[in-house]
Amino acid sequence: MPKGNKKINRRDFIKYSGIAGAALTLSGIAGAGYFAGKDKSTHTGWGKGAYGENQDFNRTPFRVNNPTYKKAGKPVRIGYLENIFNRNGELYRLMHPRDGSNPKWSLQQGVDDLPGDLKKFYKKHPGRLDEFKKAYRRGRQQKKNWEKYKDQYLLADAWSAAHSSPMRGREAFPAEPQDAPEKSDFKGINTKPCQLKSPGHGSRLMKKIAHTFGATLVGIAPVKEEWLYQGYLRGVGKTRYEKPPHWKHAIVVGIPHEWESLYANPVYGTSYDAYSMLNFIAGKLEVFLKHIGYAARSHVPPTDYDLVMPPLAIDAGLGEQGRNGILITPELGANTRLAAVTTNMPLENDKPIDIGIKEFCEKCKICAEQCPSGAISFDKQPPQVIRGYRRWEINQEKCFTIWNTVATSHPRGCRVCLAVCPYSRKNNWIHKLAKQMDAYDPTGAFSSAMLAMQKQFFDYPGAQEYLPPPDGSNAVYQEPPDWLKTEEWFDL
Amino acid sequence: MFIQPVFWIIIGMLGLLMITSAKYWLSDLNIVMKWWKWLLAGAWFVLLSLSLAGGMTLIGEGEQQAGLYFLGFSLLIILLLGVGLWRLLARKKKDTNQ
Repeated sequence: MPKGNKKINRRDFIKYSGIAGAALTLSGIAGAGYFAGKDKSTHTGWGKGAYGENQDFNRTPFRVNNPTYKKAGKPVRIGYLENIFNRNGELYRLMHPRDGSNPKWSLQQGVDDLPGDLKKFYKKHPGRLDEFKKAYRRGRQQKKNWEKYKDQYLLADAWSAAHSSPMRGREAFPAEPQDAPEKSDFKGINTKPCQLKSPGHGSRLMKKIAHTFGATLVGIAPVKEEWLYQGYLRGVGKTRYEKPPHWKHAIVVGIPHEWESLYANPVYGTSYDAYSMLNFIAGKLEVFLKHIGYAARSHVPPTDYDLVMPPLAIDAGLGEQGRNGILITPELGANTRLAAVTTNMPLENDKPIDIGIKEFCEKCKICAEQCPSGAISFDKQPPQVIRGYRRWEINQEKCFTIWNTVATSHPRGCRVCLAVCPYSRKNNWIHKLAKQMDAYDPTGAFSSAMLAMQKQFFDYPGAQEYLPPPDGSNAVYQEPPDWLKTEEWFDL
Repeated sequence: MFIQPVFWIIIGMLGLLMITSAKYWLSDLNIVMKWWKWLLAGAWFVLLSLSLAGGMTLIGEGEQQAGLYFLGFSLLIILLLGVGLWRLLARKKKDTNQ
């Protein structure tokens, strides 16, 4: 560039653009590498586990006719007692009979005092019984040592206990409350809890824990009296009751239905995929909370609730109510199923959000147009005041009639309104971008443009088509995945 | 997952090649580029890329009809914008010749 000439010329522009471009490219490459390393979807075995995409090593070139273990004699089936947990179980039951009778064997005794098969096993494997005795004594010492360590490893122990709880017994999990909240919510609680640093710490911890249990969304709300059912309380029965004083906060968790089956509603989907997961997540949260010293009661689908979930989730900042009467969240759209755990743990409540879902639903109406039962209102704004709030409500009876009409073995729901909601689109960049831009557009012009595109470009079967013949054609919103198509795997 | 960084590295290299190539093409066509022309051309290419990616994303997620409509609609607009952009670049060429 000539001296004194401040005007940038093409050559210099390209030269400097090249340097900037190279810097950006290198930064991009560095960033891509960094985020590829940091990306939690790369957690081995977790990222895309639902569809087996983590099993991504191409084994075909390495297939062989004979396995790599070597046969060196006559094969023999494994004996029951060759499994350490089976033989240890046998020994424990001899030492501590379940019926409370006198021990039939003790550590002071030897191999010759053991009954038949055990005696035979330990005779054949000398030294193993001594090792068992050593482990048993160490175990007793470990229990004593735990007093020293239990605070330090409180969370790890609570996390493990939460995961192991569903494996104990044959009852439903979480167990149905057998008493009033004042009793059952405190059952099994740790009576010597550690001091929580602050409610903020409590909220952050419980959110992280809920995510590890499988929750996609977590929010914390105050428990308002008006969201409680009246006339029935689990563990008590039909009764009049007020909000138990220890129901200070609700940890609200949300997860989606499996995506491919959701899109193939009403006949290929189910509500129970999400419900069963929510039972485990909320049940584990209940166990975890009690383990760290707080009262807890889980409220899980389909009917084991003492509170109404959508308004609670709105208070927890997870989303807003949609025209179809249920919660719509920015991440999962209408494909959000909910559970909650009420607790007295000191927590920081989340604030509700307003991203314009209410206004969007006023103009969208796709769910109403596609609803095979006509249960969803077409009115511009909610016409009714329900229990003190002007809000959308579906016609429950009409909806249930369609559950009983579509081609399923029994009434197990429809979920078309969840699938067709524009907020329920796939979680990829284009829909994410649209949802983000819509949320930041106060004029609503962007959402109107997107909605016009949605209605013109996207294919919907039409409300009647979801019904069986002669009224419809058993249509589904989108083609089912091959793993749900019987004809792909069986001769029909 | 490992393919993603490799993909973007290759895209970056191709981008560099494309820019260098464009420079020579434009030089051969006697089109004088200013910084704002590069910006406009870049913006047009980004728009084209986003439209292609958007349409193909919709097709990829099983919304064939929406994807094809989206591609048709957005590519038509981009084609018109491209014609306008080219005329702008070419007009400068005429101006230069005069």
